[in-house]
Amino acid sequence: MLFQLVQDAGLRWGSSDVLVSNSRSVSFGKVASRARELVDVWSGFAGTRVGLTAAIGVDWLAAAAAIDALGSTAFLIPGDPTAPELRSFAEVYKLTAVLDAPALPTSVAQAPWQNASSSVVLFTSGTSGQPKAVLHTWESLASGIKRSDKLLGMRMLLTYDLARYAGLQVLLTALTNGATLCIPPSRNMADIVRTVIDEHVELVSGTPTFWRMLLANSADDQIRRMSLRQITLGGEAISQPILDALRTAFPAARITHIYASTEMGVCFSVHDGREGFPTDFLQGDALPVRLKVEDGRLWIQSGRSMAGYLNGPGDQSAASVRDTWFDTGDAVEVRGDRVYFRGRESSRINVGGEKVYPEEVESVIRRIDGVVDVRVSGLASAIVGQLVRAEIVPAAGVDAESLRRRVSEACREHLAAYKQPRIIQFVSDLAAVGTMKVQRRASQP
Amino acid sequence: MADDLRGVVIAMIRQVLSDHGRIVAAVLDEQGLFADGVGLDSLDLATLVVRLEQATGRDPFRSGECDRLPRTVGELVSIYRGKATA
Repeated sequence: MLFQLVQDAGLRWGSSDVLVSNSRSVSFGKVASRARELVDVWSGFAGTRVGLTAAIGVDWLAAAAAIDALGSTAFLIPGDPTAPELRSFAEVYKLTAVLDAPALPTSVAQAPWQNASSSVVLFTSGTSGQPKAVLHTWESLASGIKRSDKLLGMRMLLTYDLARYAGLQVLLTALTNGATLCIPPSRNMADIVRTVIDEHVELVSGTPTFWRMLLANSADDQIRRMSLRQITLGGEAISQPILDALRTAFPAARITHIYASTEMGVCFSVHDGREGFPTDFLQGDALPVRLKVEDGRLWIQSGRSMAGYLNGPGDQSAASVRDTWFDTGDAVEVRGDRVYFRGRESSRINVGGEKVYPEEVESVIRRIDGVVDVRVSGLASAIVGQLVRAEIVPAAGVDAESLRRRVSEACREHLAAYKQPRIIQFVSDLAAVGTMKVQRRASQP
Repeated sequence: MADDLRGVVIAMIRQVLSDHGRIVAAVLDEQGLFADGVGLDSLDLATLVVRLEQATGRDPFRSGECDRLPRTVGELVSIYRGKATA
């Protein structure tokens, strides 16, 4: 299906750019012809499992399309893995090959036939816990992609790893609609700000963490020089302050927040600039998915979901979750005509038996002047199980002791005693490990 | 050295209390740690233990050297001293 999508795009928008990076670009037509070339020389990969990393560079899309055409399974390996990591990865998942350099193989010896239908394996970000291998098809990945003439020629920024669900959504949107994907030369915020301005980027999809860092790293005149028309947030809990900050910075842009997961796909999007979502979504067939609130958590039934988890090495017979109710693990609360997210069940901190959602504490701290960003997590304690810890990125030039005092005061005013962070640390960044999502792991001090 | 450790423990107790805006005049060895003495609760004690680990590199409660919570300031100091003299 990806191969067909690439060929169709090549015919329709042949000489337009699909990818731009570091002033190098590749056209739709070039990707289509490169994919055909690779199919011709890669017959040995047919029906096997092949790993792909971002190190392939501009040929990544052509390689993924060729693997699809050969009826093989593409394992999209995220991040920047080391050689030993790749070797153990290939062993665990029984991969025929891992492609991790711009120089792709020019011929492949025949391998024993394993399966005949192409699929895609990607990995959850492991925001809370171990990453899981998730089995999709290109059809299920592309099923939520919007088609709109307005997107033709639109310039989009890639803020996600291409190997992640969100990155693939951005890529498939460009491929389906003839839009151009601009890839920043690095994950450095100054480079990203420059790319947005210099490449005249109009559509950006990123996590709240990404947007907070973009706003904190852009001068007022840089914000004015940005031509954003569509701002999309997803991947983490969306709270009102970041929606308001983006509305103020970019008054002309449409602001959308999306609820999606690697497992369930895109479930719904909200455009009214308010956190949470309308209770209308819980009823009827307003959405392509069905939602319900049970035991204080959001449950989803979706035809766009994964086929299942890959249950360990060599096993593709994962239990199907498509069209069954799936517990998202997101704690929600209905107030009036709105459903609000309280936080992830799995990131909940247990302080002497009392439950604390990091998101609630973070939203109190994030409103304080001089705080760029914050992560709240549980710190193991032999006495009370876990203690609440806040790691804070302070704004430049802020006095640490006075900020610490103001944080303590705000928390005492707005939070019950057990929710107040007992350990407050100042850090230079929150080490988002390539996903631009805050990593939540209870840790030792 | 031992007296330094006592000083560190007492300074940290004062710091945890001052987080709640409370100031104590004197902290004595025989004083109780909890409601009957300087007035810590279990969260305060847990906070104190994390901060003492940051200062001394040790958590005697997690490492299993200590299977019972101390009742007085002096007992807490001697728990931390335990390893120092071993």
